[in-house]
Amino acid sequence: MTDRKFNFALGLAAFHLVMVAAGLWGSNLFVKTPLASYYEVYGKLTGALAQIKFFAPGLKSQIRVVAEGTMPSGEKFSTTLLQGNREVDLRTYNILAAFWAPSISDKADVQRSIVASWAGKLFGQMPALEAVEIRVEAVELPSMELARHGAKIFWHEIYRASYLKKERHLELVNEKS
Amino acid sequence: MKNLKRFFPPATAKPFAALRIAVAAILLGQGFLLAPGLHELYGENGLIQNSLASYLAHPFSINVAHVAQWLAPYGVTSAQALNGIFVGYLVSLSFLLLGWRTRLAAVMVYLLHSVLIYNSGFLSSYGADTYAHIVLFYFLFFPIQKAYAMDATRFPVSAATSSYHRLALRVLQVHIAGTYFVSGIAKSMGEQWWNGEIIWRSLTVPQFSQWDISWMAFIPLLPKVLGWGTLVLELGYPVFAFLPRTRKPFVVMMVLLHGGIFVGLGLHTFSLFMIALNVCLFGISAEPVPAPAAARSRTEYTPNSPVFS
Repeated sequence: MTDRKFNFALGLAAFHLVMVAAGLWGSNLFVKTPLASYYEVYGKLTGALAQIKFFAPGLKSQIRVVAEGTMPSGEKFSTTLLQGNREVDLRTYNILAAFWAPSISDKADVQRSIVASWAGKLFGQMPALEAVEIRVEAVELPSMELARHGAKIFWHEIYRASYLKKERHLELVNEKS
Repeated sequence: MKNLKRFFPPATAKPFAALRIAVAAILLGQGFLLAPGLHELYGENGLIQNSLASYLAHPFSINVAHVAQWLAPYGVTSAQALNGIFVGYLVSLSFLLLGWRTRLAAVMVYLLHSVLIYNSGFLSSYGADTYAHIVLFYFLFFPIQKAYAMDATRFPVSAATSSYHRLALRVLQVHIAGTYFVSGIAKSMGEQWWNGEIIWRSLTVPQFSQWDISWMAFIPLLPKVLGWGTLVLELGYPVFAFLPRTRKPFVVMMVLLHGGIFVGLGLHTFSLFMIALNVCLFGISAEPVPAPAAARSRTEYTPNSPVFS
């Protein structure tokens, strides 16, 4: 590699690492400038703006979904949408957590759409299913001190909705949050 | 400017070759694990249906739904488009693993991983996917095909040393060190990391719980020490990983940390990915192997030696 090419590569590398540093600190270098959207695209394509703060500053709660329904035969079913495959289930948990994500938690219509999406998935999987109730629950984890006194984890309901299958769409018949 | 190269003495591409093989193997394994849930996670009628996913997604991202739309006029269904992307991804990863048509394979893997895992799975993805996206981007430019690759038969491996290899290695090392360091700072701002509650909570929360560790509540010093240890490793990463004297024991500590995450939290792909990154970037030497003295004496030119005899 010639000196000229090397210096060019070095310049690109320095530029990229500045973007990485800005991304890691969560600062948009070009906020409120015409370059802001290009910066975002650059970050998206290169991963330079990715912030990876695994379990930081702490571990919040976790969500689970319990869906229950009755088939026309009278047979009842219950599912948590998990498959028992670790790699798939980790991702499913993340999808469930979207219900409570900071950008979504204050948007009731988006939350409703997410739960309707899960209901639609179940109706698609079980064509005979006519009604389903979906409960969204959050876990309460006891601290070590409480655990020493016998406290156990428990789930509390944060949202509940029931859906009926109509001809080509779902009908929300009951909602509680 | 001409002298800048002297800060980057020639290095071999061995760390990148090892990283290419490790990343391709891990992502292939992950791909096979994901196969049973492919349509559930990324399909048109999956857990998050396409219309909702498109509404929530980043406006610039290209996902499976876009590809399906482009292919629809040719009679390709959404499910077929998803299957095609997935198979293409696995085939490209196999080529990347073997180092055959390496650069083309790297481009395909980057594009298909972005479309499938990173963009379509933006709600479901986690740390392993983000690190994979970062590394696959670097694979587009870095010397991943110059050693331990079928393509490398066209290059004499021992001679494949270059200042560019050193620069590339430093860029990726600095990026990874930065992610650990900033993560360490963010963690250190949370009380849970100082009082050990984070270890207790992460090991007991159903999403990650692998074992019954209720006994740990009676030994609170243990999670506290594990929390502090993680902070020391992450905050000290930019120092310990780069100092030659601390590098090897530090890499061993990082392998143990991620081994603990593998066993304790069941984050298998993530742990393997991070072990591969640490070992390949800081544990595998990029230094050229010195030629044997005898061979050197035959080949080196010195001003006083006769060139022709």
